[in-house]
Order: sequence, then structure tokens, then C-alpha cells
Amino acid sequence: MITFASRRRRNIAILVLLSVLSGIVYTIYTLSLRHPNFISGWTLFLIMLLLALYNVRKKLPFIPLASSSSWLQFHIYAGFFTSVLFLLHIRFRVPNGTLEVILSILYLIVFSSGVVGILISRSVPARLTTRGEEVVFERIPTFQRHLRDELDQLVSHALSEAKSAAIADFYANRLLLFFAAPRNFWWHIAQSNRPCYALINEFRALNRYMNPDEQELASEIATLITTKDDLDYQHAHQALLKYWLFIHIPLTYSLLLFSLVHGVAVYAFIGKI
Amino acid sequence: MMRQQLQEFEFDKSQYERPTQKWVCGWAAKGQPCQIGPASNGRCRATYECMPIQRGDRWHCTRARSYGGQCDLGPLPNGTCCIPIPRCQPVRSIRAKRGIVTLGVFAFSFSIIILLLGGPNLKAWRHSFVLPGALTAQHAVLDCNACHIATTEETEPTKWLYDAVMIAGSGIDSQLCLKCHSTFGENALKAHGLPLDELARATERIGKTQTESKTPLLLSLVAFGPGVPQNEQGELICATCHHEHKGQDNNLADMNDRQCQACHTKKFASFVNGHPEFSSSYPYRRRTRIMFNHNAHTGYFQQKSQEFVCLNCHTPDSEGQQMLVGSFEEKCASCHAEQIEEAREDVEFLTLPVLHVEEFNARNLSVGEWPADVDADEEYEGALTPFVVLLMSGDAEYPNFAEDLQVCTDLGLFDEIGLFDLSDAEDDELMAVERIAWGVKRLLYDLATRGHEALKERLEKAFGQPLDRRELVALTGQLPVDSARMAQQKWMPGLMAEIANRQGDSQASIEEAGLFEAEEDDQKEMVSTGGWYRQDLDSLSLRYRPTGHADAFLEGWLKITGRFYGKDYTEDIFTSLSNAQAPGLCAKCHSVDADVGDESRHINWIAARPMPHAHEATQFVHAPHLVQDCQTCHSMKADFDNREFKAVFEKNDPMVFMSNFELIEKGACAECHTAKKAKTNCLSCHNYHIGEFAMVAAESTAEERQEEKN
Repeated sequence: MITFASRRRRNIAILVLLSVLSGIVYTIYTLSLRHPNFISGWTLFLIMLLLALYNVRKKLPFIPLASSSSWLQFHIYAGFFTSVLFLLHIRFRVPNGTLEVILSILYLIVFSSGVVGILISRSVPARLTTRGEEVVFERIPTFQRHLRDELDQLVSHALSEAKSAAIADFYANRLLLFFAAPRNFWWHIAQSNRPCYALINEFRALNRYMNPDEQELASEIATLITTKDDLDYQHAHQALLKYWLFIHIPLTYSLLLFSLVHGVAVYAFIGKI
Repeated sequence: MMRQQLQEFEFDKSQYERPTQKWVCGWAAKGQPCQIGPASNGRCRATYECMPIQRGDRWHCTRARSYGGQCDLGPLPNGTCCIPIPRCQPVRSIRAKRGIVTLGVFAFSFSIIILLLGGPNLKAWRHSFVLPGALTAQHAVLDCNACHIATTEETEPTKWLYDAVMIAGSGIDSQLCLKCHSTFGENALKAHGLPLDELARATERIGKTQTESKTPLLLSLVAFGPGVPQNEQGELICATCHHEHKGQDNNLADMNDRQCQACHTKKFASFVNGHPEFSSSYPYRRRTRIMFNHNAHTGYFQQKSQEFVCLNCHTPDSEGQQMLVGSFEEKCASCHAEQIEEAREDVEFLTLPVLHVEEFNARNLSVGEWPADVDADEEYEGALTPFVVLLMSGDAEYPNFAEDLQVCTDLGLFDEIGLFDLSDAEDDELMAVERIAWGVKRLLYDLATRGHEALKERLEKAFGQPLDRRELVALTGQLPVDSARMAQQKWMPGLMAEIANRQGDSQASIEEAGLFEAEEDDQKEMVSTGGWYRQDLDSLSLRYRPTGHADAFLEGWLKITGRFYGKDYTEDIFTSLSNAQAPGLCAKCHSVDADVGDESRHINWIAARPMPHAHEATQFVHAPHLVQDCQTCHSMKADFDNREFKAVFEKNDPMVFMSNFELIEKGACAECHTAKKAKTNCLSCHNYHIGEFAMVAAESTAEERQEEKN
């Protein structure tokens, strides 16, 4: 069975080989006073079309068209290959026509979002194992609700048992908002616990005003805060895994559409004898 | 404090998630999704928390354990669950939201494209949308349709689609380029603008040159390519080399050396390594227009203890390309003005020939009044001048002039003693001489009575085409009519009456025809600065004295007789005025070229000048090279035969030339033009478009030029 490392080496070697080959073909066409942009443009367009078909392939799992893993590998390395073709196509110059600038910006967003997507899909799974419990993304609201219910019970209990309103006030002022929805998205992406620590420290500072019963309840509430923060951590990273595609996929189709217009314009305005 | 796990996966404690479905329960966001979930069309299907089942006569709760198991109250008596689920507003799943965003972005993009391309009044937007970049400054004022056929129709976007699919690669855009750049000629789209056979000859010639280097690897790869794009006629589209829409400052003519060599059969690494040797005559394509012997002048300057410095006479033109020669007045006059003045021979324009008048009388023929000096004086030098011959050939009343002239020539008209003795002549020969004599008289009569108008008529008839005013002014030398009349009065006082009589005029008219008294004095000294005078001493003639350098009369006659060289009677005039000792000494310095393709002759009045419309295959820009001594490249030959130099110039072939200077070889240039020193790229020295053509900026200019031409 082929290992991940050897597969990566093989794919990178193919990518480098194709890139060099493209450079040679580009050079030959340029030296032959032909426009290499036609061959680079068509190749780029067809590869982008194939890359877009990956999304279609995912929707048709019952059709035996190689495994999704193979498609993904092709998608990643062909995506990198498009960057070589793109640079050759624009001749390493910044385009200055309106349509060309739109196309270039679209391509750069789609390509860079793809690269970010790879980085996310490579790094997030490992991150998910480092904090809290790995939960199904769609269930997170339910778990959040459970935690909030638990919190409500503890605070109700504290109100009935305790003499002071410290916990209730803190709940009303801080915890209610914290437990209402996923919080601190970018702090979690940055893998920082600072907001959680700050909240807990703030809560623990109230201990001096609590009797022992209240302190026990406060300890349980602190545990709930940590659990909620871990859940938010899971939510933030899993959301990242899902939401980067909101940029990558829609703009892919726009890119293909503008590429078509570009192609028509090029062939309509091509210099002729 | 450890917590219990949030998530459980047992079948009865865990809900089955369907993230690929389009809709999810509206309560899911609040952490309380219902078990049923929404329908595929997004409708809430919530009813009750369970569907009780009947066992015997009792209804039993079937709520799932994951939702709390059987409820305490149990089903209602009618079998309905006692806990209805409040209806929700289902929301779209993440996947469905992504689909909507995708569709929205796609629709937005499509709308933008339709708006920009399909809008009825958005032509400017449309064009700026597909414009792939700014035009160069030269083309910035042009509309799209000046260069693209795709924008010439109102229904542009559909036309674009049609063009793109149906005729891509076979249109006529390059022809639109030539609407403005019309001066490139019929071979404009061929390589170098040359006909294929000429290109083949050049390729064969260069192919024979030896190159020392092998074809570089990169250029070898071209052999594996599709080849240079050209059609069956060997034509290339303009856009092969000229890439527009690269910005205002883009150099449309920019090409790198490897692209130049794409077509060339001899491919080489660089100018130093592999460029063919220069031709065996470089840098001379033809002889100099001014016959200037540098070798001889070195001696002249030494005799005068003056320094012979190149830049005293040669200065670069405004482009710094060509070294120009200063004007005669600035550079030559100090020595040669006096020389021309001293050697100022007069031009004998009209002379009465010697005639044996007694012989006419003896045979009952008559030439009428003929001056006695011309009649029998052996010392008299008169003969028909070439000018008279030409003017007589233009006499409308003398159709048989050529035959009579031939008879007179056979009798010795142009020999040393002329027609002094005609006693041996046959009667018909004598009659021919008589007609010639009357022809001369009629010429004098015309000059005296009608002046320049008569000259114009005769010259136009002789040359067979009309003359413009400037030419006529030069050819007449502004001959004073008074001089002609005085000559007539002096030489033939009765000429007016004689001609009137011959023309059958009335007696009164004949009597009125004695007009002027002849002057006694010779007029030569009266025109010391040049001009016309009458000569009565050695001959009876009207003469023209050149004004000096650049005399308009001589220049005019040399130009027009050179143009009609080979035509009857013009050759003699040209020859008599263009020899080294001729009046004015024009041809002493100004070389004569025999034009290719016809017999005409061309006097090089000025030295080589920049020809802004001339684009030769090789160009040299002098200005940057002037930091060096001129002799670095132009070394004067050590042993030089001045006589041979002069003899070569007497041949009228401009391509035969003996320079004062050694030829220039590639090695001389290659000392500096290396990769690390001066430029070595092809376009530094070579032009792609070869020929004479003007760079035209706009179509209207081309039309205006055509109108002017018409």
C-alpha cells in the first residue's frame, strides 16, 4: 500500500514535471512567434472545469468514478498546476483590462481559498483532538442547550440556597450571554484561552463573597464554563472546515463563467490575416 | 471536576444527522430539534412527540428514548399523543445555504455580464469591459472598430460569438491595420515586407555565410514547435509581433533576439558569437553622391597647413543617425567658390550657323537675310547649339526637322568648318539646309516676338509633356526678350518682314515689321554676375553666363535633359553641361547616376540626407559612437589612386565605387558590442519592415494623402 509520504512525493514530482513541460511548450510557442496564451488558456480552462467537477462528483457518490480520495488528490495538485499555467498565461505581468483584472482576482481568490482550505483540512482535525470533546457539528446547538439548561438549574439552585446574589448577578451580567451562542470564534482559531480564563478568573473573584455551598456551586458552574468554551472551540474549527467552501465554490463558477466570456472575446478579437 | 461526555452514540440516545438534506428543523438552532424533521420542500412536519400504538384496547406512548422515553401522561383516549410539538420554521442546512450562495454569486456574475454586454446603450461600457488593456499612445485615439471587425456591427455581442466560433483565425483584422499603414505596400504582411522570391534570394545569400557557433539549445527547441504562423501566401498577421493593449508606454516594435531568429534559418547565439560577417562592401551600398576625394583633400589641407578634421564637415542629423555633409557655402566655398568663378564658361544657347549663302543664290534658293559675318568668314565658329536643335525639334511648323538635320549633319553642320562650303551639295541637300536656316530664323523670330511663351511651346513639344512654371523659369533662365529682339535687330534687321512675307501677311504688316536698331557693343561685360547677353564678335549668339554655384538655369537644364536622356537632342545638352569642364563645373563634384530601368540620368545635387521614410534592413546610428575617433572605424586607405577614383566616378553606375576608406568588418563592432558592453540586440542595427514608407497615424491622413496624390 502506498504511503502518504510516497504519494505526496510522487504527486509533487508529477506537478514539477508538468510545470517544466508547460514552461518548455510556452517557450517553444513564444519563440515560434505564436501566442502561447491560447494553449495555456485552454489548458487552464479545461483543468478548472475538471476541478469544478469534483463538487459534482461528491454529489454523485453512487457513480464508480474513482474514489473521492483520488479526486481530492487530483484536485489539490491540479489546482497547484493551474497556478503555473495562470502565471504563464498572464506572462508574469499584472493584467490591466477590466475583464482580465476581474478574472485574475477571481482566480486568485479561488486559488488562495483552495490553498487555505488545504491548510484548514490538514490542521483542523489535529486541533480538534487537543481540546474538549469531538462532537458532530450539527449537534453542537443541542449540546449548547443542554449546558445552558444545566447552568440554569445550578443558578436557580444557588438563588434558592444562597444568601447572596453574587452568582445570580454574574449569571445575568455575563454567563447568560456567554452560554447563549458560540463565542470567541477568532480567539479559538488563534488557539487562545484568554477569554475563557478571564471569565473564570472574574467568576472566581466572587468566591470571597460566597459561602461554602455557593462556592461548590460556583465550582460546578466554572466547569460548565470550561465545557462551553471547549464546545465553542470545536464549533469554531468545524465551522472553519465548512465555511471556507462558501468562498471557494461559488467563485469557482463565476470564474468559469467569466473565463467563457474571456474566451469568446479573445476569439472574436483575435488578430487575423 | 470531571463532566460526563456530551455526546453519546448509542442508537437510542443519539439522533441520526442528515447534513446533506436541504432543510433542518427550526428548533435545532435552539438545541431542540424535533425527531421528524422538515419535509424536502422545507415544510414543517411536526405534529406530536410520538405516534401512539394500540395494544388491545389501550393506547401506548412510543416516544423515543433519546427524547425522554415514554411520557407520564400517555396518549389521549382517542389515540393522539398528549404532547404536540410546536411548529417551527425550518431553516436551510449549511450545504443548502452554500448552494444558494453559489447560485447567487453565479447569477450576480451572469447579470453583470449580461448588463455589460447586452445593454442596448452601453457600447462604451461593453468595449471598456472587454478591453484587455490600454492602447499605446499612438493608437489611443482610435475606436475599437478601427482595428477589429468584431465591433463594426450593432449587434456586437452576438457578432462576437459568431466571430469567435465561425471565423476565428480567418478574419481581416490585419487588413484594418493596413488601412492606416497603407504605405507598407502590397507585400506588407509578408516577412520583412519583401516579395517571396526576394526573400528567398536573401535567405539563400545569408545561408551561404559561415557562422562559427552552433544553434543555441533554446532556439533548437523551435524545431519541435508548430512553426511560425503564416498563411499559404507567406503572410503573417500584424499581431504576430505587435502586441497591443499592453499600456500607453508599451513599445509595439519591441522584439527580442530569439523571436527574430524564429524565422531565420541561421540561428546563432549572439552578435559576437555567430552573427554573419558583414557584406563585402559594408558600409557602402553605393558611391557618395558628391565626388569628394578625401585622400586628395588631405593633401590640399596639408598644403594650406590646415587640419583636415572629419567633424568640421560632417555633423550628425537630428536623429543622430546619419553624418551629414555641410552646405557648399559653409564647407566648400572658401576654396571652390573662387575656382568656379574663375572657370565660369558661358553657355552658348543660340548661335547662327555658318552658311554658304552664295551657293543658295547660285541655285535659285534663298535663306533670305543672313548676316555677312556668318556667311563667309572662315574664322567664324558658329554651329547649331544643342539648345537650338532641341528648340527647333519643337517647331510646330517644321515637321521634317529630323530628316533635314540629318542631311545637314552629313554635310558637316557640326564639323569644324560647318556649312561653310556647300558647293558639292546636291540640290535636295541644299534645300534641306535652306529649311534648317529658315527654322533657325523662325526660332529667332519667335524669341524676339513671343519670348518665353515661344520657348514654352517648343520645349513642351520637344519633351512631349507639359512643363510646370518652376521648370520653365529654370529652363529659360529668365531670358530677357529685349536681348532676343536686339539680337534680331543686329543680326537680321529684316527678319520680321521676311517672316511676315513668308507667312503671307499684308504689305502693311510687313512694312511695320522693322522695329529695333541693333546695339553695337558686345554685352558680355554687362552681365558679370550672370545672366543673358548677346555675342557679336566671334559668333552671332545669345549666351547665358552662370551666376555661380547652384545656378538655376544650369540645374534646370541638367535636371530635365537628364530626365529625358536618350530622347532626341536632349542627350547632347546633358553631355555638354555635365562634363567636368562644362560651364558651372557642376559635374566636377556632383556625380551623375544612370538610373536603373531607363536611360535617364540623375545629378546628385545634394549629399546623402536622412530619408525619414526609408527603412533599410541595416541602420547605423552615429551619435553614440562619436565618443570615439572617426578613424577608429573609418580608416583611410594608405595607397590610393586618385586618378582611378575620378575614373570610377565618370562611370555613371552609382554601385561602382572606390572609397577613400577601408571596409568595416564585424570584428570592429564586436570589440565593443558584447554582452557586457554595448548593446547587441538585433533591433539596435536592423529594421524588420524594409522599404520606403511613412508611418501614418490616422485613416483620415491616409485618405488626404491619397487625395493629394490624385
